[in-house]
Amino acid sequence: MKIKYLLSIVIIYFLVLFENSFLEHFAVFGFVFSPALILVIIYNILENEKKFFGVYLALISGFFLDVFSDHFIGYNILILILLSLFLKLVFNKYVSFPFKKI
Amino acid sequence: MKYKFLLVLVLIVLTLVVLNIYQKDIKNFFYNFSLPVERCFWRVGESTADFFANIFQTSLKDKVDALETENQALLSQLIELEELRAENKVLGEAFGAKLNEEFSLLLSDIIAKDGSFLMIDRGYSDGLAEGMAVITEGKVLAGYLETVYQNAARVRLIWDPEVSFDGKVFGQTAVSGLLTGNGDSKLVLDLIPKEAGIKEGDLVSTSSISGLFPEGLLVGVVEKINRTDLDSFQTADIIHYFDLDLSKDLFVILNHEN
Repeated sequence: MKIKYLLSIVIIYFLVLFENSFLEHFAVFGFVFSPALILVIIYNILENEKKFFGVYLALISGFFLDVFSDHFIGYNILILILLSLFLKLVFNKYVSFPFKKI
Repeated sequence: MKYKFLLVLVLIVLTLVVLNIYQKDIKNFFYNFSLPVERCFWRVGESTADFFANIFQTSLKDKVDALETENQALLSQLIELEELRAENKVLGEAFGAKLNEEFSLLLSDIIAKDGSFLMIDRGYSDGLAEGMAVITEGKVLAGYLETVYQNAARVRLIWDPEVSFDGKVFGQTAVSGLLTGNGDSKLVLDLIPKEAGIKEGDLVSTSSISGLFPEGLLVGVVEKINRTDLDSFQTADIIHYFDLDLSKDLFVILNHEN
């Protein structure tokens, strides 16, 4: 269980570095694809409402996005946590999936 | 339950406050050991982007033709400039003025980009300080150092909306104005007197009135002039010459204090 949490930190760290240094060359109309953000969105949509690992992913992603950007620490953390809670609420209350959630 | 929620909220706010007090140290810590990975990702990204640009570049011939035409125009300007330089030298010697002050430069690599900011792989351990100007090898202004860490620094690019500095347009006569970024890879030159005879295609460089940047760094070219009877000044849209795709390396000017 602990490995899951530690591994997610390492993966998100590299995803944010990848976004800032590699994907910046492939910006479309100034927008850069953010794998960390996509991970947070997809995980929170597919996660069971009683689990909160998606929120933890949002916290870690927000932290690294803040560290490697010009924003104060907390800017992306708050946005991503609110986004993940919103997704959990909407997708658990109003959307049903034909498969069992993670 | 209510108290528990409040306690968690207070803890989160406190943690964020503490993190922001030590923000520079935290970022410094992460930048120090992320530098090699970021440099590697940046180089691979650069070469991959170049590879795909070559494949999908359909108007390459048009581009070459345009560049050849521009090159010929520049060559004729170069001859005029050579004559002016010789004249300047004679005048400088006559008046004892110090001409063509050379900059002390430090070469740096770009390692990351974030909006209108760049990260370079040099920091205060290399003698960098906040506010230093950053240029390309062609003496084109790229921006200035906003935050300097131990082994990295954050460059605010000139087209950021929060950047504003004084510039000079070389029209019929040299005219000063205020350059401001518009966040869209362009700049706006404001406060140009109405009677100033500037036209599209005139070159824009930095001037030393505010002391933010050294004088004579190339900024860009006038794209469009906006002149109305109601305004007391005219403004001009400027296309800047700093192109991230062409500038693999950047130089920091060490011997200019703003």
